[in-house]
Amino acid sequence: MTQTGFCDSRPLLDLHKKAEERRAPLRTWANTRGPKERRSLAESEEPRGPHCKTTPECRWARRMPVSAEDGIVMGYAEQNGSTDGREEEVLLQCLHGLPGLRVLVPGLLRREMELTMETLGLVHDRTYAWDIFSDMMRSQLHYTFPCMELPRPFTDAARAIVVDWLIQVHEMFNFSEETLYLTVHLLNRAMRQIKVSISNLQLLGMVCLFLAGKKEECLLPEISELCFLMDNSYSKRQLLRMERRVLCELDFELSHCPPLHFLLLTASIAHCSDKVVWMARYLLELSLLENQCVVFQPVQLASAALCLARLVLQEAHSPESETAWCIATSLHICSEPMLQRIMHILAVTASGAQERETRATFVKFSTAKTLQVSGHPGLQSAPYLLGPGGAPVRPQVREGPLKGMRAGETGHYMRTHT
Amino acid sequence: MQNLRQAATEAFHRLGLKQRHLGYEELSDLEDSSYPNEPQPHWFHTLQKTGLQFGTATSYLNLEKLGEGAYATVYKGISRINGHLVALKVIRMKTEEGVPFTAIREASLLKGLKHANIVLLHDIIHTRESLTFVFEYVQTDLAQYMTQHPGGLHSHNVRIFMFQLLRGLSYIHRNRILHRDLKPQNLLISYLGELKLADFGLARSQSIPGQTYSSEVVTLWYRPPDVLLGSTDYSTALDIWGAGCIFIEMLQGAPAFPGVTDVFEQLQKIWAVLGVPTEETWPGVSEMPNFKPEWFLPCEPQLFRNVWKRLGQLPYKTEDLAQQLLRGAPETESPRRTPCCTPTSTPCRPRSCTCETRCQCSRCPG
Repeated sequence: MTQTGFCDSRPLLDLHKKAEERRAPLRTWANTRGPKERRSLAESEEPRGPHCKTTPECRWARRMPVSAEDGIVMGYAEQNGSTDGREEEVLLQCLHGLPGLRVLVPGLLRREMELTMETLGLVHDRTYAWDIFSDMMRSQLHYTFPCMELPRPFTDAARAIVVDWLIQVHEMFNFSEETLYLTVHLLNRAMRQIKVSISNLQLLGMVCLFLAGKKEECLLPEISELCFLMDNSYSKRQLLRMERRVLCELDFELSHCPPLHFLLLTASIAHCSDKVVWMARYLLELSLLENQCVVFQPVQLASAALCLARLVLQEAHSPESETAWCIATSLHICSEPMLQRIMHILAVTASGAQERETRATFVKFSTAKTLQVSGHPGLQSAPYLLGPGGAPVRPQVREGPLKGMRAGETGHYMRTHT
Repeated sequence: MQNLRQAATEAFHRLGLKQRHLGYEELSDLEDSSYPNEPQPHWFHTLQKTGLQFGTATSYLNLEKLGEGAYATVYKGISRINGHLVALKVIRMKTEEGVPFTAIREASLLKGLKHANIVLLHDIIHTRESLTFVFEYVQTDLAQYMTQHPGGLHSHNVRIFMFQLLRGLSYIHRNRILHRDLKPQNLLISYLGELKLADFGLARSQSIPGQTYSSEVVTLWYRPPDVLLGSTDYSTALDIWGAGCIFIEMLQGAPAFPGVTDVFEQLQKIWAVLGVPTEETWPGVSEMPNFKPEWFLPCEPQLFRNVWKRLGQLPYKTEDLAQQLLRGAPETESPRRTPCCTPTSTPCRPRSCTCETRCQCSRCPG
């Protein structure tokens, strides 16, 4: 079904492109990323090359891991061990030498991307869209943290409470969503770099919000208002001193690439319904509360949120939307186990969101404006929709790969901890 | 390497600049002989102390005051670490709002920008009372340069400056940043003829849908008509218009649209040249907040060369570029890339802007 849709559209790519565009040098991730990702890229790009006639089934299953039949996904993950990876690397090397390198340029994706970035207002000049997007992909790697451990006085629970409170304050000020993502990113960095006592954590959070607002917003609240929101437990002077300190320690580096941008981009390329987008936004915002999510790249979080949203809502898909989804998923640059792992974290968080103490996001997304996504019954059983960790839906199919994945997962987990 | 050299030479050739001045060979010579081997002033040893570090106030010496901005005072200074001249921008702290948001935006944006045509932020000094940004020292700015050379600049210099201005703009636009405050005072000119964009206090990175910017940006003379009319979803076209105004100003020696009092007079000045827009020429213009057709005298579009006489003395391509830069109605159908062509010679393709050539020019005579 899907592969035919996509393959049919392939020849169109080059035909309606101008000669000049065709000659453009290859500017894909392959050029900008390390060897490890490059391999996974090669996998996703291959179907467009001339050599891909051999195993289209598996490859397509690989490209749309969630919506495909479960058996294919898992079976594929099992068959393609290390040997396949090596093969592909060799193949990629061969391809680099070929004159027809442009075949590999994901032309359709690129065109879609440029159009989407423009309609979303991420760029004002479509001609710069691809440059800007490549830059986003490159820079987003800097916004992850090597380990999720917080320094001594802080705990995940304390962090979650502060973030939850910040979400409420942020909503009250009607700030844009980027500001929220920037705030939490700054908070994550500040908590790791600045030594403050746990009693000053709220102040630190507020200062991060204030700085993010100064960077992004047109209208700023008064300082006295901020102090009032903190129950006047800190003076204005303390707040200003903390601001200087945070700026100094973070060395004025306040740029961020919010996962929300990737989410909106992917969703819009995939022509997702409003409901799916709101659900994904909800899941993505929930990820802010989870300290364990800081180790993932923004684009990975966005992909996982969107995949999970589709899985939870179980909407009927037309062939066109499947095709669009295929194109969009080539943006997902994370490996299958990684995606599953993030989705699992998000699913567990979402299923418990209602009972938790920190439920600002839950409340925020239960309004009519957001299509009441947070109250969707499917979320309660979300962890069970996924294989690992939750109750396996089809144990007989998943048994093999599941073991391997678990081993890999714990291995990775250990690494991040040491 | 060979390709790069060729590309550079070609690019400069297309620019119409003499190979003698700007060939790659000379560039590499220049680079070799730049800062590290530069003989230090004979009094330098008196300044140097051991253990000086970046980021501390004692590493820099204030020499003289250069100017005062809205939120900062700029001093000329010298670095005691390496003897370079620097510009020290001392930020005034406000007790009501802390570090000014302009300073925050400027520093955080400049940290991500490294380009020959963007002013370089060397260092940031935090002290208890103040905050100081250390910039590279650039001798003069375009406003001063134009006062020193009244009656319009030489067309070769206009070409050189314009190329660098557009290249700088193209670079920041590619990085999702709008300058939003282009004016001759913010374009620094080094004695080598390098032009550098400065003062990113109002600049911001573009972000998401629905986000509106305040319409109180850009000094009135350099504001495009759609912003004057109250539009807030402006784009790279904002900076392009400013570049167009500066282009005309460099040629003519006088501002292109010197409005005096308010927005309406400014619009009148612009439309005296471009013609008052109608629904046909600019779909949606009548819905703009500030659009009141009865306030404006009816004007027909004029030929640029009749308005600005200097254009008539130069090849048609110059007028073409001016027309590309100064467009009355926002583009809807075909988006435009920051035009990176040179005024009086064959337009060079955007690609040449991306090649890493430093546009170092010989001394510019007036």
